[in-house]
Amino acid sequence: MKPSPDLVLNHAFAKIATEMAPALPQGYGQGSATTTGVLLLMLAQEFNRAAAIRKAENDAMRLLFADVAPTMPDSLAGRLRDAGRGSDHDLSIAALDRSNSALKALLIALHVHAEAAGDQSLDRRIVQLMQGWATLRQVFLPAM
Amino acid sequence: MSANLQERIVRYLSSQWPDHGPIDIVAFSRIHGGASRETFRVRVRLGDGRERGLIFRRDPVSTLIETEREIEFAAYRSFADSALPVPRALFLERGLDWLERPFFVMEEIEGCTAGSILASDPYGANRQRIGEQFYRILGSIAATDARTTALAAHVPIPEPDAAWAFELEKWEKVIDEDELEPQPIARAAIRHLRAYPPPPAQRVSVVHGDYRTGNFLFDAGGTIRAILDWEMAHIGDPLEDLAWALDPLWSSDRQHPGGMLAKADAIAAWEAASGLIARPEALAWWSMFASLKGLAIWVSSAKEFQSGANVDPVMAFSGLYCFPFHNKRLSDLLAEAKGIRS
Repeated sequence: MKPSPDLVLNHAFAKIATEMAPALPQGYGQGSATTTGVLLLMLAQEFNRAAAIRKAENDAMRLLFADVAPTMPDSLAGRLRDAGRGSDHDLSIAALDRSNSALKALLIALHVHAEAAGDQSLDRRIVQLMQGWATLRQVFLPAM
Repeated sequence: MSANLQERIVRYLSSQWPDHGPIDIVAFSRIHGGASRETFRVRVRLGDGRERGLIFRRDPVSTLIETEREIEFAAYRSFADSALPVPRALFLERGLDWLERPFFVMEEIEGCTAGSILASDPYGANRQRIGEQFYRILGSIAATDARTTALAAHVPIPEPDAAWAFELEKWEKVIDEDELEPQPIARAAIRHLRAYPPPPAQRVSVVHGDYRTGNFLFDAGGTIRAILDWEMAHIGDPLEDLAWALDPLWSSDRQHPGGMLAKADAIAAWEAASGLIARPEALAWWSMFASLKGLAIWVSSAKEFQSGANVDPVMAFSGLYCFPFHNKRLSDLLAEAKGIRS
């Protein structure tokens, strides 16, 4: 798609924030226009990376689940094994979000188990994974 | 709708001030921000020719935080006759007859501005002066006897060793009810906070609940003229407010939380004014809690926008920018607490 959606969104932000919003009277309308422009800037950042981030998170969770399933109690092992065998065939954001949510619900259950069992190694592994994902999902804005 | 709203406001004020003669609106505008209430600046001319600036805070159809307007109104009243700068709260209306939704009215603080969390240096040359006032005022809130305030009639007063649990449960419930996706970082933080509670509060006091850059007005000379946005006010551990004020979301300047004082100077100013001590282990707990509370608010705002209940762009901004910010912050604090080096 050309022009690239992220480029379009970035230019739309600049147009709204630097030309259109300042032309409005100060107050709710101007503030809302500026905020709307900033939303476009954030969506521009998200556009290119959205699928890659979700796919990477899902792959990492499946790998973790498959890895630890053999050592988990029966109440968790089956779910982890099944989830670990999954994959993302539909790469639309909506589909990736659905599988991401299902996998994260299972991750919470696994993390609760790790803490209750005093499994510090697994606890730390999960926290490190989550920290990495949170880092990649950050949105950066210029000072305004 | 705006004209209709203005007519309704004139009718309302005429009923409240029957001795002021005919009342006219000379200026009317909606104020941006403050997603928890629709806020209108209304300038009126009274029958004798005098003009008054008023602020109307009306409940929205949907709200970022489902707070009771009575609490905010009571919080303003709590400090009305003190040295603490708050606008005078004039009227509170719970019914729907006047403006279709409940609302309250305050006096306008004129000639002032609020800092922006997106500004690189929101206070410029007044940074030090405003910062010293900001933390001194917060300390004075903490030093006030909460039981004597108007707020005490509207909110629970927790025991010093229960304030943390009360707040943690409150915000966990918000996440329970409003999350649209599982939140593994928030859940881990909740478990950690519960497993390692803070020391009991040195004193339970009024907690503003949203004390930060953006929620106070200052004039051109660098004097803070009004502390605003008390809708999340409650009584609890005053360290909650200090940790919230120091949260890194409120400024891009990581060395100066909120774009004001360095953290150590901020804590010293607060301690001097409050007579309390911000012990590092207690402040660390409340700092993690602050990011969790933020996350809960952003989870709620994302749900409001996603559902169509409130499509103000501020709600989307909260979900798209503030949420990932606090998710990252929480994950960093969790990693640090578990001895993980990044």
